[in-house]
Formats: sequence, structure tokens, C-alpha cells
Amino acid sequence: MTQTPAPSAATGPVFSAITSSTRHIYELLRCIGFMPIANVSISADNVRFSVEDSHSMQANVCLTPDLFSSYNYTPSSTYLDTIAAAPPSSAEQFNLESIDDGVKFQISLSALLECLQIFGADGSSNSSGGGGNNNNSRRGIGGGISGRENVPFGRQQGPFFGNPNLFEQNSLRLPGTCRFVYQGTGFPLSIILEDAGVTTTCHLTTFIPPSTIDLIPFNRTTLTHKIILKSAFLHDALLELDSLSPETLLYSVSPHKKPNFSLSATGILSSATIDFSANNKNVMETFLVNEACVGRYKFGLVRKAIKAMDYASKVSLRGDGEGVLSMQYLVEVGEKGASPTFIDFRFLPLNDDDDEYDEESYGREGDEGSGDIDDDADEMML
Amino acid sequence: MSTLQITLNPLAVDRLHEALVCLSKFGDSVTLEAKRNKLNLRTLNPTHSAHIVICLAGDTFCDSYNFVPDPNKLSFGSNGGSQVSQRVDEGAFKCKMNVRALLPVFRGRYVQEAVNKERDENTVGGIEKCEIVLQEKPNKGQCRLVVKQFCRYGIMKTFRLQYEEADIIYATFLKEWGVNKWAIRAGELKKWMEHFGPKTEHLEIAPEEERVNFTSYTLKIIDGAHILKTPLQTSIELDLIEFNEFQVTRDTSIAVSVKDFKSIVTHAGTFEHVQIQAAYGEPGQPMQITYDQNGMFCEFTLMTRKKGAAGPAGKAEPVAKIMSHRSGIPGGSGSVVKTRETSVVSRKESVTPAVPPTASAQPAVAGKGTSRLGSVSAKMPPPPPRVTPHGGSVSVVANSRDSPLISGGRQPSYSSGLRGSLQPRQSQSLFIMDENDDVFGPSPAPAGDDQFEALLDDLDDEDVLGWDASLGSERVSFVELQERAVNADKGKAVAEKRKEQQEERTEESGSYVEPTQRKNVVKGLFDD
Repeated sequence: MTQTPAPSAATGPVFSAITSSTRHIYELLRCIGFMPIANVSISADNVRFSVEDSHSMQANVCLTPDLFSSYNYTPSSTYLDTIAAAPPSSAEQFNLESIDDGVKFQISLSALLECLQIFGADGSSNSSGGGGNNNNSRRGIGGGISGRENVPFGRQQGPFFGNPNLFEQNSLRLPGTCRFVYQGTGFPLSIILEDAGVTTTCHLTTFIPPSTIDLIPFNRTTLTHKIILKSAFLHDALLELDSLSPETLLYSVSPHKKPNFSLSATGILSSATIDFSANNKNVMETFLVNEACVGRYKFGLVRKAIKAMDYASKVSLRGDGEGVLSMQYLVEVGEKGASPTFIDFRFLPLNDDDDEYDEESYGREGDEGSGDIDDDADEMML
Repeated sequence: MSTLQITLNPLAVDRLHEALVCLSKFGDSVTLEAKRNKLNLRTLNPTHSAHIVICLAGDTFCDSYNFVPDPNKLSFGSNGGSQVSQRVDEGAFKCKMNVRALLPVFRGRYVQEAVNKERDENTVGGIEKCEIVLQEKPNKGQCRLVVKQFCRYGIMKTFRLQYEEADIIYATFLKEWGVNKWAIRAGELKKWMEHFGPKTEHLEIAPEEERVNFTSYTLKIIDGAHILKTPLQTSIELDLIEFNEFQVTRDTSIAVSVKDFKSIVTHAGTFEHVQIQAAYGEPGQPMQITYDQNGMFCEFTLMTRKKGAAGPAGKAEPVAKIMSHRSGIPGGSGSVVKTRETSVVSRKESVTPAVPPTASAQPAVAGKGTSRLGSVSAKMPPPPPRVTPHGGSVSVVANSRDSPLISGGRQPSYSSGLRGSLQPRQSQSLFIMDENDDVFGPSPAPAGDDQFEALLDDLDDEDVLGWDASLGSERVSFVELQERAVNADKGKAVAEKRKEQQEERTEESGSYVEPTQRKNVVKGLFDD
């Protein structure tokens, strides 16, 4: 099913992008790296990687042109050598429901991650120090990159990027570039790493995608709640519950009654509940709850978002009338002020028929509306 | 229905976690015993050779402590005077939990206050206080120990832990057993613990003149008919100056499990300035180690190795049940043989077949005095650490403690403080001695020819003749020593022959030479 040549499209690369640092790309993809195969969709706005597990959870990462120093998408039908128009805002780029007419294929995500690691994305890739300047011809596309010249792309900025590995061996390396090339259906996705005169070319076999990739429907008109909190606290709570090795995660929100937001799980030996108060602005940035609701999700699936929780700075939790939980992680790439990237997770709830959760402890009476719900729910959380 | 409410500050929670980590190294379950003014955590290890009590004082360790016993379980009408003394314990709430369920509840709760506001703004974790409440509703099937961690930023973590009812098992440690005592700063002891290899089993604590010898060792490993291994043995000598108190009967050396001892010292080392106190009697009786700080009182009762008890420490007698102790075992088993006379005796005694000794095989010993006289070699298994490594040779050479020639020719080095020596246990002969020491050691009677023959038979398989050729002229082979001692009055021909042998060996020095003579042949010559 692979490598079927498509000569008609071979006039030029459908997609090519250059970056001097694969660090952020690597980190973003690693957050959804729990599945081996990813669906890739390339459009003029972004490159989207999506994975799914058990048909009950999906995760999406969009690589925006901001992450690349050069981003060039040319639909195979019309050969254009012009650069794509100025990219829309990040929120628009991330609208998963938007009509996506880009090229689609499947790829081995684990292999892709390994390739990116060659570039030293794993460690501190300060190697890219002046990398942006090597590609002067293409620089300035995304606007966002122009402000970063003085800051090495891969330099760990802000509080969410772990410890800078000052003595990392890679930091002594000369800057290199990484190029992604995709020539169309049937061609492999090529990753060309050029580093100090050494060129490494990885051809990743692409697979024909399933005819339809069903997105877990998330109905924004029946939104029950929207909570934005610091991702580190969610991460801490999940780790806490994870130590019980539970089966299900009980997720409950309540507009007035305390606790406003709580996560609980029951393991073999004990059960635990983490309660968040809506009042503390240090944790909770936004707390809009229409009505109290309790959802049950498979803990093993929610747990897969743990890497994203660790990497992101904020998370927006939303639920719709059907109980679908949407988690959107905001990842700050580069220095402050640069447009952030998002990782999106969606979880289907467990069926309530077989539940036996403790009514006394967790039952919340459904208070009526709290604040006005976000009208423009289509807008992203910021 | 009992009521139990405890409030802890973050530091105390951290302490509690350290204690639980220590308990988890001994056993999987921990028994909670709530009394009016204190909470006891107990663990008995699976082999019942170690028992730990960690007592949290209600007033000093906890910020608040409130325990009201179940009125139904209290017997108010005192049926007898003896009941009065038990009143304190009565109604105590006892339950058993898996320590693995408790550990994550208290893990990493103490986080320092934010110093740099901007940097620590996003620090998660860290609690403000911890509440432990007992939720006992037996009729509703909801018995839980509820631990509430009040975190910063209004986050609360609630853990509901299941428990089961349990009986308390106490360890017996009679006051009169604690005749030997010592006390040392935990930090001092902790420094040296890492030197004891993870694979060693036992730790012998033997006092010497100005020092105390901590020796970790492994008993032989028997695989089929072969006695394998030259296991690692590590000795650390601590000067008595390091001890705050040291009162140990001369020549009392005991052995406990290295792992247990290390766990204890590691935990004690988490306190700032804590003093470990140890009390013990003779080998085979329990040893008690205690220390306390800031309202946490820790008491460890460890079973010590009985003399002659072969096998892993797990076979030690259960500490929790031991009520009787042996009286006939000589307490005198110093590490170093000091005099020639006794060493001659010991050498003969050691010339005995390698029978795996058992406690029952020990002959009754009449009195301590006589037994000590005759049992200088009735040592705990490890040889004295003063023996320098013989370059890894596997020769069956006489150990210094048994060989007057060697021990006389070498100056004991009295280094101050610590002297660690990593010594490969170089020969099977040590095992033979060890075992036989235990079996025959107490017997004051000199070994006869029967024993000697038995040894020779035993050694037959190993073709020991000629093995120690590389050891130089000063050292005399083990077998030769036997010959000298036993056959000192044999004929001149034998002596000459022996001399020839010795010369041969000297010539062969430095290289390995195949044994040229079967041992049984030699024996035949001597006996004739």
C-alpha cells in the first residue's frame, strides 16, 4: 500500500518545511506518542498529527508554520511557488472542525520520533543557536519567528521547560537544519537533517489513511462547563491518582457547591479525591460551569495525556451534553509572546449504566447556571 | 465506635513518610494501634525475625491528637485488680493496612515555602496540614481511614484507605537480656553502612579491645555436593571513641541481618542528631535498637543469629515469639585468637568433618568458664578481619587465628577509627572451621585422630596438597599444620618426608603445580 509512485504529483514537493530546531516539534509529538501510528494531515495552515486509542479517545497536535522557519504547502493539483498567505490566528489554525482539504496519510509516529531524536531534540538543542539565520531566504514567513532571532530557538524558556542542560554535549554542536519534505501520495515523508556537513536523510513510509477519520464529536452548543487551570496542578492530581492504579476516573464539577471541581479514583487498596476550589486564581484561571455534572472516564486513557500535562502550561477542560471531555493544552513554545501551540485530547465517557459510584459522596445536585457560558465557544480558550 | 483525629504539620508528615518507608523495608503490612495518647505503627517481617514499633506521641509529634476508645469495647466494671493495668490498652483501636497504600498518601508532602515568588509560583504539591480521621461505620460497611491533605491554593486531597482488623503482636525483649549496650550517633554509623555489600547476609558486631568490629559476610553457598563461593566479607572497625556508650561483655559478638540493620541505620540517619541505642544479650537472643526524636520513638527488635544456625538469617528464631533462650551457649567468642595455646586447641578442633551444624547438634556445655576455655574457636562464622588477602589464592592455608606461626609473625595493625578491608574469603577451609567450630567448638577435649582422619577424608576430594606453594616459606599449609600438631611425635622418616614435601613446595613457589600425591596416600603413610 505504500510507495505507489504518483508521477502526476511529482512535479515538486507538495509540502516542505525547514526548521532549525526540532525540539518543540519533538516535544509536541511526544505528548501524543503513546500510539505507534498517527494520521497526518497537511494543509496550508498547519500539519496535524492525530492519534486515537480504542475509538474512545483522540489526541491531536497541530504544528503551525510558526514552528518552522520555512513552511511551504503546495497542493498537488495546482503548482504554485508562492508562499502561503499569512497564517491565521492560532485559534483558527487549531479549529479541528474546520474543513480540511489537505493531503492526508498515515505514518509511524514512533519512527518519526526516533528520527527527530537524531537531531538531538532529546537534549537541549541549543545547537540551533543561529539556525534561523541560516535560512534567511525563507525567514519571516510566519511573522512569529522574526522576534526570536536573539534567542536560540531551543533554549528552554519559562518555568515549564525543565532544567537547562548547560553541559549537554549537544550544546557544543554546530547549528543544523531539519527539512521535512513530502512529495505527494505514495511518496515517503523525508526528513533531511543537515548538521555540520553531515546530512542524514530519513524516509518514513507513508500509509494510505482510512477513508474517513471520525473525529469524536464535541458539541459546543451544549457545553456544560469550561475550566481553565494550570496544567501542572492537573498533572499533580493525575499522578496522585495514578498511584492507586485505578480503573476509572470520576470527574465532577459543580458551580456553587464546594468542591467546585474534583477528580477521584478508586484503587484496590484505597480511594482518593482531589478537590480544587474555584476561588483560587493561582490555580484556576477560568471557571464557568453551567450545571453540576459527573463524568466517568477510563483512567488508563486519561492517563495518556499525562505527558502533555507535564509539558503544557495551561489546560482548558470542557464537557458537552453528551459527557465528552475535551482537554486542550496550551504549550508555550519559544519565548513569551510567541503564539502558543495546542494539544487537543478528547475522551468519550464511560457508560453510566454499569456505574456504582458512591451517591453519597459524589452526587451533586444540579444547581442552575453559574456564569454565562462562553458564547463564542468556537474561540479557543485565550 | 472509636474516634480518632490526628492533625499533622508538613514536617511531621514527612517524618511519617520516612517511617513508613522504613517499615516497608521489613514487611508489606503495617499495624496501626491507636491509644489514648499515642499511635503505634508496627510491622513484623514475614520470617518473624524482626519486629518494629514506631510510636508517634500524641502531644509532641502530632499537632493535635484525639482518640476516644469505643465505649462498647471498654469493660468498665473492673473484674479484678489486674484489669486496671490493662485499662490503658483497652479499647485501643487496632487495624492493619498495606504499607504500599499508605506510602503514596504521605509521599513528598513537605515542600518548602516559596522563596522566589515568581519562580515558585507554579510549584505544585506541598501541604499546609494533614488530617487523619477514622471513619468507622461498620453497619454501613464503610470503614475507612480518611487522610486529608490540605494543600496550597485551596486544593484538598482526600484518601480513603481500607483497613482490616488486626491483633497486635508484640516482640518479647526481657530487660535482663540487654546486658550488652552501646550507643552511637546515627550519622556516624550511617557513614559506614554503604560499605556493606548488598548481597551479604549477616552483620557481625564484635567488640575488641579498643574497637568494635562490624563485619558483613555471607555464609557458604552450597550447590549440590560443592561448597561454592568465596563470598565477600567486609569489616569495619570503629574506635570506641565514636561510641557514646559502650558496655559489652568481652567476647560477645552477635550477628544480625545486614539488610535489616542497614534499613534501621538509614532511617535513623534521616534524623538530625539522633543516637542509636542497642541492647542485646547472647547470640540467639533478640537485639533491641532504639532511638527517638521529636516525639517519634522507634524500637526495632531483631533476632540475632544463633551460634551454629546455618543458612540465611530468615531462619533465625522468630523474634516475636521467642520466650526461652539457651543458656549453655558460651558467650565468649572473640574474633581474634590471642594466645598460642588456645590456637593449638582450636586448630585441632577445627579438624573435623564438615557437617552442617544445627542447633540441636550442639553438645550441652557444662559451664561458661570451661566452655570459654575450650571454645576459643567457637566463633561466629567470619574470620578475623586482620587476615590480609592472600592475593585471591584459593589455597587451603591456615587462617591466622588458627595458625600460631602466622599470627605470631604479623603485627596486628591497630589503626585508629575505621579500617575497612575487603577480603575475599579465600578458602573452603574457613567454612570447615566455621562449621566445625560450631559443632565441636564448645568441647574442651582435644580432637583425636578420628577427627583428623575425618578431615583428611573430607579434604580428599579437593586435592589440597601443594596448593599453597605460592605462599612463601613463612606460611605453612593447612594440612601441614595438622600434620605437625597431630603427628609431632611420629617417626623421623615421616618428618623427613614432610620436610621434602615442604622443600618441593618452596621451589614451586609462584606457580601453580598439580598436586602430585593423593591425600589418602599421605594419610596411609602417617598412620602406619
